[in-house]
Amino acid sequence: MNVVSFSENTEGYLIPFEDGKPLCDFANPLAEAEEWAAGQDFSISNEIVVLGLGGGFHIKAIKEAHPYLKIHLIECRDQLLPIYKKQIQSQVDGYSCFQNLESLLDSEIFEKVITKSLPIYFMRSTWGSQEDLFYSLWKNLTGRSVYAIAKHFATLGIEIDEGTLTSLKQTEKPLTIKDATDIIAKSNSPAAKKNRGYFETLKELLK
Amino acid sequence: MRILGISLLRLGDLVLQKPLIEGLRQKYPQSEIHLLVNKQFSQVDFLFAGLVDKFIYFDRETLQKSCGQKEYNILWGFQQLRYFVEEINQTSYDSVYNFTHNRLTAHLAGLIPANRRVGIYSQDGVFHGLNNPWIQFFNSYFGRKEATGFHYTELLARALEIPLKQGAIKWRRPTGRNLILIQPLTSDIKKNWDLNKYKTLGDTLRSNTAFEVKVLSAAFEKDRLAKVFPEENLLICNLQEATQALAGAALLITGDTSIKHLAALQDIPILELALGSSQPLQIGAYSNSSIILQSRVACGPCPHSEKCSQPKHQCGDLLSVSAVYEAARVLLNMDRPSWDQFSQNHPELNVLKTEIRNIMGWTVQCLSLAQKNKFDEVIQAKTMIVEELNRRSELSKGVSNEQRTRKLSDSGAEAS
Repeated sequence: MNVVSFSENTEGYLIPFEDGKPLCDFANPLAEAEEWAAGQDFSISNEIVVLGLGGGFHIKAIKEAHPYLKIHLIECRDQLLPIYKKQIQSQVDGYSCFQNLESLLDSEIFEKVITKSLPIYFMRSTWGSQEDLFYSLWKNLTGRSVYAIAKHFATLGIEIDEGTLTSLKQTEKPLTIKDATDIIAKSNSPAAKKNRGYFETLKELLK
Repeated sequence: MRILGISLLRLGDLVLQKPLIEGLRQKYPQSEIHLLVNKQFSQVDFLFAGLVDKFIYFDRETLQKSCGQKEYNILWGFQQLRYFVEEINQTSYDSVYNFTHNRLTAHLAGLIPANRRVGIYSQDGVFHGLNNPWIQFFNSYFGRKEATGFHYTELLARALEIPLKQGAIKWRRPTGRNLILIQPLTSDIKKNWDLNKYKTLGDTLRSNTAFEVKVLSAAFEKDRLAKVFPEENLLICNLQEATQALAGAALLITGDTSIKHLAALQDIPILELALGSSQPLQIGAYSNSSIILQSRVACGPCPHSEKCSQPKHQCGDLLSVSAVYEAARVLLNMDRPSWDQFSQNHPELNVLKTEIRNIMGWTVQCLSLAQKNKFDEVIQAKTMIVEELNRRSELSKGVSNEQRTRKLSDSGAEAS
């Protein structure tokens, strides 16, 4: 992990920096966060995951616009939370810090997100130099990785056949509903047959 | 008996399917009919009053978003769709009619258990329900030149074996009505006639006749139309209000729009300006006679969902205000109905008239003698196809009830 430092802006806020780059807008982080929050669709669920804390101004913006939302925060840099607690003070309902993908995959929050299909939100600038790790966390939390989809399908009683699994593991791209449909179509398990129609329907919606 | 109809296309298609729902009601008068439609068309319930007992709304937009947007879990849509289908399946249906001939609804229909499924459905990824020769014809040819002369409504009715009230709609000359409605905007820019021409037409009708002329506008179209038409000439309304306005109209002048099909349901005289990709020989008004003016250009009708291939909008330019004005006068009974004379005066146009006949069903007649042979050929071809498909239908009844599977086109057959 790189070193995170903080600089005070003209409004007196401490702005986090990583590798010399701010993790939110230095001059006006509140305006940036409000604009970002206004562009998101928070109607999907009343329980959400925010991936990346940065200065935490976007958490404040979400809480102000949608006070009923239950927010789980996922970060990979421990240094950010203490400052957030001091200067933002918007309550989050859960906080987890994962410095690698494996620790996420072993966690309770991962189980919960997968089981409940919770939506994942992020403000890209908060990812800073940890873009690759955050991207991989996002891919898994949204079920777009082979591991995550296999876990998802296991809860439905659907087995992914070996050949499909091998070929999927070779792709780096996040999986889509089309990939999920192909997995279902190739699987011989009765649960796959039972659910195939749902996936075929969704695949048609993508056209 | 409980029937579920699935109709998940666009507004125009839903309007065009009303005669089928009427036919279904007529065929099964004691049945309970439920209709599954896209949530965005929940405002059209009024059209089916007395025909449909319950509407079920499909939230296509949200499901579509869930499949593409980055914040959604990949299986969120699956879970929502499963809840939705489970809720539908709380009711047991004797029959499921798929009015939407495409893959999406075939898969959806396959998820709903019923004693009888009419129209396509899928199971284990294989399509079924294509065993009727009419549905095979619809599946293979609708929207292509082979199906010219067959109306979407009648073809779908035959495919789903639903009786239509053939010839029941009578042409009435307008009496005691003094309102002309204009619906200038269509869903496709290629099908639009120049708004300034519509403005001149409206002004001419106002100056030379006793009719009041109003321009129909949905709320979202208002700003665009207000740039050309004075605000007092606009009738800003929703679909239900437009339907009410149509009921008192002497004439509707329109492009290829859902409003045209609404007017046809109400037996309102229609003057259709068929431009761009409009296909009046397949999706004209299902009415016992609307008049269609179609510019005779080499590039028309052009392909659906593609930009105009010409440097100028030739078909729109060729259609003059004076031609539309003259045709409107004839339809309003102000001039003797000499369409042949009109056609001779406007050789640049095909002048067509829709009719619903008892045996032939829906037909489009050419009113211009010079073009008549070409259109008579369409009617002859239709007659031959009808005879052949009816013969095959009879034969298939006696043979077996084996369900055939077949490749479906991606989009399926859609009217608009």
